[in-house]
Amino acid sequence: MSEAFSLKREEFYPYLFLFSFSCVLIISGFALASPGELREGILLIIEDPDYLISDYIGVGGMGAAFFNSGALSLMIVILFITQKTRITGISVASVFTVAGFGFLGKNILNVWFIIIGVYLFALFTRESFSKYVYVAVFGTALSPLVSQLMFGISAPLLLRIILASLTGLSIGFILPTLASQMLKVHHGFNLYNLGFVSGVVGTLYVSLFRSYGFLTQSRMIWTTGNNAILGVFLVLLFSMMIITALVIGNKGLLRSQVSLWQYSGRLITDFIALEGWGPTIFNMGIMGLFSSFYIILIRGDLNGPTLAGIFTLVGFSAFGKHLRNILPIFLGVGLGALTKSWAITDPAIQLAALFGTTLAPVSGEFGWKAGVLAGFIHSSVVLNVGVLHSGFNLYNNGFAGGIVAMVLVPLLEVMIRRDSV
Amino acid sequence: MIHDKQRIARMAEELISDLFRYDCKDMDLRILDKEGFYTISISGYCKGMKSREIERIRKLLNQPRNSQMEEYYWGLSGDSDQDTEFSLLGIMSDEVELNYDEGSGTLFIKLTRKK
Repeated sequence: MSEAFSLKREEFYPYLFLFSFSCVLIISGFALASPGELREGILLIIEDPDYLISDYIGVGGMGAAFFNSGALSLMIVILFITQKTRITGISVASVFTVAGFGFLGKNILNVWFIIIGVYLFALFTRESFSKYVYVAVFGTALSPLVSQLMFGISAPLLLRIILASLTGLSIGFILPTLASQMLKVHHGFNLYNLGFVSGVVGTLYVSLFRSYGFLTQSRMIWTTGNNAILGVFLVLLFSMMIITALVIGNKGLLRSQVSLWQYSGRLITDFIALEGWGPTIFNMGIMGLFSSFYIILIRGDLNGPTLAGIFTLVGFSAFGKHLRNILPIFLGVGLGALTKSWAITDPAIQLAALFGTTLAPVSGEFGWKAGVLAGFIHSSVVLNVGVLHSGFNLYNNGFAGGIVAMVLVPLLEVMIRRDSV
Repeated sequence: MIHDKQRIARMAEELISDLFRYDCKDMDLRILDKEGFYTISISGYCKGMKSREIERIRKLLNQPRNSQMEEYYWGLSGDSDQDTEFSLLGIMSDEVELNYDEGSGTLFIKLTRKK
């Protein structure tokens, strides 16, 4: 089991899978806009402040948003190749998450400052950067802070560049130390761990900036009316995944699916290592179809933010999520919408359902009732924590999920598993 | 490596917690710090473990060493109060040895980790 990597046959196909996914997004971008529109749209996306909620389909157009998402995920795949990363469940989750947030706040410019910051940390500690590659990729949750400082404040250009660069680099520099230590807070029951870490770090930075009069207006760029075109795209994409799974792992695929459902999903549950590629891609396809139809059936909106939610959910379906542990979360958020002062189609609640599945391990470990409770509480918490970081932490649901897990898990341990270690 | 010794301590703690979870008794833990590698061995009296439980542990432990995942998730080791973290031990180890003697009910696990 010693660690070795070379781009051999067994590594080639996983990379091909991620590469193909990125290329589908890029090609879709070219199909949806002319080269001129793409160029203009990408520039608009790069210059946008990006903080929540900034739907890139509304900012730069659908073609540019698709291109940005595909180019960004392709860059991450190339980063993985350069760092000799063996593709596992977390690698798939990170590429899909980045692709998703390529529609909602991450762009081909703003992510690099944080990634380079992590690289500087590796240099400082004389460790290999490859060890921190996941922290670097997920850590880009705070990229909008870089965009806002570079393009969203009125100051001389040089000062803005210096301020944005220093902020991005320093965030990247401190994240590796915190990423592993903060897992203890939620005991691995919040799948979007870097979302929690970024929420705390983002709160710290924004508090400092606010002390110097740095204030942002809340924003809501949320496109509607694209359910047909995006619905067709998603159904085709996830159907292709299911067909791929059937081709590469037709033997006992359904049995493997049931076997997969036995895992709680708590960090770390790598479905690729445990059940293989066929069952994992099958699970991803099923979860993609489920989440897409959920948005369509509740008459929600398929757009940049919900695509981010769907892609992130699908990515983490290689690393802990399956229908059995996410359904109670959806139910909990739905129950909240019935009894609280908002509707299930409110933008933030659509996102709370999709991203709230960060708490899927709670239902996987403690049962469906605990999952419903987690979803119910999460939908309230997520609406109240964004103000702490002014929407600059793109993984706001990961932040909220960490807080919910931090409180809920110890209580559930005592109430449900009194005889545990 | 940052927190190298702390990681070994956490792995040992994780093994103890996991064996407690399988209701093991009379445990012996041994940690060796050798030139170039560590070994962490644990043996315990774990009467009545089912073969599918042993196979599950073997499956979770038998994951290749993955320093990238380790760097992100090692903080979870020794934190097992519910689900087993054998997966994490697997990615933090270069070699794994697991034996279970049904007759005596003795479970033995040895993890080797290169420095």
